[in-house]
Amino acid sequence: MSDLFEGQTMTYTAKYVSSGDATTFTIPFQPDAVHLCNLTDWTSTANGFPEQWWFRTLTAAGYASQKQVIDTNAGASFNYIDLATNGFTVADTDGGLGTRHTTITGVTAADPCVVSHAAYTFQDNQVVRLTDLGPDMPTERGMDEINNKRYKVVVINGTSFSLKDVITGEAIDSTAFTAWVAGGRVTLETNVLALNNPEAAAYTANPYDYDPIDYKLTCGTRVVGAAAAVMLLIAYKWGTFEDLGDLG
Amino acid sequence: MGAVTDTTTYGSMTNAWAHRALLQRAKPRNIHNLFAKEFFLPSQNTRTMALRRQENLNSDPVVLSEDADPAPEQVQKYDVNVRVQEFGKVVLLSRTVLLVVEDDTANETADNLAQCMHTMLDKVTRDVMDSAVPQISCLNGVNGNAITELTTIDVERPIAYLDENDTEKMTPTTEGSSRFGTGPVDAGFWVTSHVKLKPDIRNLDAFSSTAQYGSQDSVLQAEFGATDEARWVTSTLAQVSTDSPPVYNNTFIGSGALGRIAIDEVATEMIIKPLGQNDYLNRFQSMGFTAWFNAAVLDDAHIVTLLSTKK
Repeated sequence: MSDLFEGQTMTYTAKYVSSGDATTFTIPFQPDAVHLCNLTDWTSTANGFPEQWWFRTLTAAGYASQKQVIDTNAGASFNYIDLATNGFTVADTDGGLGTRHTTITGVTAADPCVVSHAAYTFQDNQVVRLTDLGPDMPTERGMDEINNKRYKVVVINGTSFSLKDVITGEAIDSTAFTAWVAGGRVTLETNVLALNNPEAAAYTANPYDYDPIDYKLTCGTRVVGAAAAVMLLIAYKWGTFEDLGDLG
Repeated sequence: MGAVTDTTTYGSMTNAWAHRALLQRAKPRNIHNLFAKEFFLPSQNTRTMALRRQENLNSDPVVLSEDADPAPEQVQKYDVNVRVQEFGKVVLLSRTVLLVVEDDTANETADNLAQCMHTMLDKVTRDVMDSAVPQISCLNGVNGNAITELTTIDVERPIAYLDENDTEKMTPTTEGSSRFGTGPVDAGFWVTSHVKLKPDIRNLDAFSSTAQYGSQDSVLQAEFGATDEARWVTSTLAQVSTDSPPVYNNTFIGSGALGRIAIDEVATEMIIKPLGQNDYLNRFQSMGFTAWFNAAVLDDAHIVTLLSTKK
């Protein structure tokens, strides 16, 4: 994804109380390094991890380096651990609009007509439009009667819904329709459930909201700290980065 | 001959003379906002606009009886809510740049920002179209992909879709003229497409380039040509997927299909602050824009995307 802040030096700091569960943080820029400090366990000798580092350029999945105090008396004795799992995971989002499309995997000739589709979360009474069915292609796809038309959906599960008429709400009987053969697409026409009526009920607004690009980092259970631990997250973005190379 | 004084020992004091006029920037054609109906929210109000249309009443003939009224039909409505969002960009120029750089940096940057704003808003509309417009696949081509290249039969399907939904055409008939090699152009729908598909579009039956139109009066800058009932505009900004092979959106647009919404008065604003607006020593000036904007599919009965790959 693009980096909106390339070339600018930035820092971001946040203090939080850990839930003990993996947590995703949104950082106001794309970080090159994140430093997690466990303030509660800062002096712990009992398997505490006072500090953890993550670098974007170290690309191994879930990579993190932890510094564990193993002998406070020695003062300078630390153990470094390379994590393979449950460390840090980049969870950036591209922004823009989510898709309202899914593909049809089957249509029954039944009453009511049931449409199976690739996984997509619909809600009852949402309006969809069905396309890419019908006869005008090398292999007919069937279900000409519902092709290019709008319907309200009654959700059966995450991969199927039945159809009802947009106006009357009556179930669509496809018993006599051309048998489905292959293909087809579903487009979610509106996110509004009960078509917008703020006088009667709360309505779902903003179906066309354009999401910003978010820079996110998921801190896994090995680095996020124990429940109730006070943590400090420090994120860095390099401005210019000079690789001095081999100085020998 | 004695020692020659040449440029190896006595060169120019500068390596190059900077031409003050900057070279031309590439400017992508913004094609997606061309066909959207514009709406404005009043300022000091909400940021969400509600748009409504009625569904057609049932027009099956109703014969009235002498002694009773017919059963009333309830009017059905369809609402579209669109919330404008603020988009923007800022550039910081240092005083040093303004003092020592030869070209007219600030003016060119203002022009660059204006271009950026129009392209950014065009991309918003494009993304709304990609997200929410019904899709049809090209299937009749021969390139072997699951979604094939454009063919005449496939191009007829989105037009059939629009016709079946009683979509009004976007352009009137362009009449023929007496000029040799030109002809009339059908009233049609606009199609936004990618420049990479030009060879495929040219191969469609009945394709005529803009040069063959009977009149050039209504030709758009980005227009490539026309096929039956479709006038094609192309741009590098048109949606193309990251799939392999890439899938291109060819969106057929009829009347009343798309809308773009802004806030009155502050729809778009170019903001240029002089040096010292945010620093003690007058060393930085900012230039940027904000735009309150969003796009929406007003009626997906009148717009449809034909997905294709490249031949």
